[in-house]
Amino acid sequence: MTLPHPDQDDALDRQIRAAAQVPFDDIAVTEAVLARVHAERRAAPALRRAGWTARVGPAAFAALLLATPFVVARLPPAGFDEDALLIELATGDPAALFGDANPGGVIE
Amino acid sequence: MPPAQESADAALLGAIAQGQDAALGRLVARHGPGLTAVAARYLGNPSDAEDVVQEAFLRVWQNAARFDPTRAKASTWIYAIAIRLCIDRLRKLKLRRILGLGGGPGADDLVADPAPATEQALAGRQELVLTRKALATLPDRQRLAILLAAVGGLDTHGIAETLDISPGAVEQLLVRARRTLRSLGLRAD
Repeated sequence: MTLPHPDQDDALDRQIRAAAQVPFDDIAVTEAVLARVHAERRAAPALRRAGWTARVGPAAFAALLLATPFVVARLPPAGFDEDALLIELATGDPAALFGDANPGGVIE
Repeated sequence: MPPAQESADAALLGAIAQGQDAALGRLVARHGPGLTAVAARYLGNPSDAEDVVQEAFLRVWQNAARFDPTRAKASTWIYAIAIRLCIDRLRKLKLRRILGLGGGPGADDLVADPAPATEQALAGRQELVLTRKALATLPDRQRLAILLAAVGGLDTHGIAETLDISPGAVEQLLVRARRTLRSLGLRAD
């Protein structure tokens, strides 16, 4: 239940509401937000690559990429449970760990 | 905010958490005007308000899965995100002003609407300008509290959660804000 504020003054509140109104374009705001969301999604694989390169070093990352391109293509974000990744590398069954759907996980 | 609207907001947040673009559009349409109005009057200009509101909805999108309806109302959660951004933005604007880099709160938009056509419209416009000026004189927290109450439609507990203060402190802010606004000539009927 919404209780009235102490000293509530509906006329004053209406006056404040009227004075506060500004033009608002909900479609433009939604489009701008979604554009940023989609831009971040596109940037995610590159960030993963950068994150893992920083974590294991560029040489090790390059070696990993050459040795197991399929696995690297499905790397989770840096900071993901390394044990799980090692299990995946050992078993060679990435789908078992990450599933078939790994949106954003593919390094482009 | 009525319970039906709160549950509709919670459902929209659930849909956003699943990546549904249309749900974001509906949430923006529901809360965007109120958030923008509060932000514009708190920050003192609409352009900063637009930036803050856009950023707030981006964070809503990114964090929708973390929303817990057992801990907060959806509207309070959304307002809290936006108000934190507003407070940060105002701090930066004030710092820029102190450093002489321009900007600053309350700098523009007291005269932003098209010219009124009639005497009645002129009177209404004068009242609008008076109200905006009066709001701009309030201390930041009083201004925010009265805007959240009058424009955002939040109750005392919602404002308390949004500002992270006690309900008693909110009541004090509201009483002082209304007293000041009346003393500046805003009607008190």
